[in-house]
Amino acid sequence: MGRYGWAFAVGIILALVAAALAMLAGTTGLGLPGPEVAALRALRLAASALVGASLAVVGTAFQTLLRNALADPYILGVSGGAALGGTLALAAGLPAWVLPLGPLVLELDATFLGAFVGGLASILFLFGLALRGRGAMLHPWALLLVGFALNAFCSALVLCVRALVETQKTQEILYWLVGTLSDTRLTAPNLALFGLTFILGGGYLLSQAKALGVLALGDDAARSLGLRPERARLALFAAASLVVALSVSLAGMVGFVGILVPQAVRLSFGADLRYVLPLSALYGAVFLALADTATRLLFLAFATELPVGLVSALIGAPIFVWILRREVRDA
Amino acid sequence: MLEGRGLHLAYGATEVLHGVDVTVRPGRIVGVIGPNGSGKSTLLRVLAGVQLPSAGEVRVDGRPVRRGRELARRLAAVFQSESVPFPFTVRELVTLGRFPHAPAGLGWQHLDHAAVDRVLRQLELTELAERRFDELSGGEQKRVLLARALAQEPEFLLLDEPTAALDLHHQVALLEVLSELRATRNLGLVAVLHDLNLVAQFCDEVVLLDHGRVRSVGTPAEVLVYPVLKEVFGVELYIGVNELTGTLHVHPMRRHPVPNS
Repeated sequence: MGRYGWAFAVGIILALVAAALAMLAGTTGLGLPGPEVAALRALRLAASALVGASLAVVGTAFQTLLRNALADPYILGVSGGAALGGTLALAAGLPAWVLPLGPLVLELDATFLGAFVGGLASILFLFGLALRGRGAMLHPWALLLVGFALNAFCSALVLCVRALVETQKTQEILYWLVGTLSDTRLTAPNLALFGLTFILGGGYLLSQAKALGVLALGDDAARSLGLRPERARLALFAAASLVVALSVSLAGMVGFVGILVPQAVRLSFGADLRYVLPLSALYGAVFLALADTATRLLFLAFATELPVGLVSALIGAPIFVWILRREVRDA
Repeated sequence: MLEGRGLHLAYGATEVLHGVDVTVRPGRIVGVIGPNGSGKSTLLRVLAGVQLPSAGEVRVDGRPVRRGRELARRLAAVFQSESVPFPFTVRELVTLGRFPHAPAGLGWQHLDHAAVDRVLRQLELTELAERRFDELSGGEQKRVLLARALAQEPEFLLLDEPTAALDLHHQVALLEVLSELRATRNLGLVAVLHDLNLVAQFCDEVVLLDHGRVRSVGTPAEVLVYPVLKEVFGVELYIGVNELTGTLHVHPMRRHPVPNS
């Protein structure tokens, strides 16, 4: 079995362990849950795995497209727009959008929808700008700078909104922005929509793994290998951004998964994107499922459930520094 | 045949190429020489199709080139400052050279693996195949990038300073491999080179660029002549004939000779 084979085998074993732990862990410790609690935990396990997988996949894609190992899924400002949209919906206290589909009734949470619309608006803004610049704005550094400005602008507006609403809402917004999986947005329809987007977006990125590999070599090399970097990047960025928008809609901004997991996968196993993308999904899912389980177990110590984004950063940051140190030492 | 006709290129107000004509026939090695800033690398980028000329045209077999996979199957290039920011292994990186040939989807074909193995052998890289690119020495990295270009199985190969950062053994070994490919596969080659002695030994034709213009073009014996080189490079030179190879030998000299002690 090659090193990628081992990577998948270990990842699957870890995924089974993470899933078992997530099903057994409650705020009072480990134990077998009743059927209702089990259903809730399963939903939350699915959500954490999906968010983790999608952030890691998008992180991999963005890092490759921007040729920067420290790029994260939120770097292009899509998250800023999503955060603003979600915050506005949350602050306004909009009701859920009920969508009857024959016998099935889809109830889509307003924050979820607001964030999704905000994320989409940022994507349209970013790529509208890029296309009008005839591709020059699709240059990695230009996108990075515009993303930075967009994020800063949206953050300022989010702070304005927070300053204007009542304290309880402020708290709610803060929790959502830090990244949380324990709230009303965790419904089966939301998850289904997210899952579908992840499969389509992630599947597209995976189908373009060879092209992504070529883009990682830089524009000149990519051109001499027959790829048009501007055009190839546009579709890849759009697909990845859509997945980020959905992820922020569902769970707010969960930090570190998107940087840490792709980095760890590449450093441990290699850089062939045909493997790095699915492996990132697998390990991203495991990482966030474990982090979410930890939020429940930490309840015993803190008597409150910490947002998963916080735990992700608390676990992620030291591991990240450890990997980086190992790398620097080896180099 | 790869041709550049009347190539002009300007970066803003600075014109880098002023109507350059170049012809590269299959089975020939063309060396591009000239001082720093004379437009050598730019010419290579224009010929490779990664940079569009502001005027003039690049043609392959009489047809204007269009960027894309079809061109990449016929023409490969390695540029001066290529960096690889991720820990690809040598094999993974060389395999990406098969991109223009590969089908859509995730897999590579048997043909691709065979081509990669062949190229790794040719460039003495088989033992490094599973090593990480970023852990290799500068010279080894150069050879890997060349291997990637050769994996494209092109008819024309454009190389910007392929021998820079290589030790003497690998400079000669690399040029021997290229000469062999020229003979066996009728590869047409353009190489920007600084070492005029290698140019004299390995090139069939030489293009001397000066301030974005072709100063002279012809065989090494026709281009590597004292007054022209002295004027273009602005340095005193000794040009002789290597008795063992029969090729020219160019030796730059310091302005003030060391006094005999």
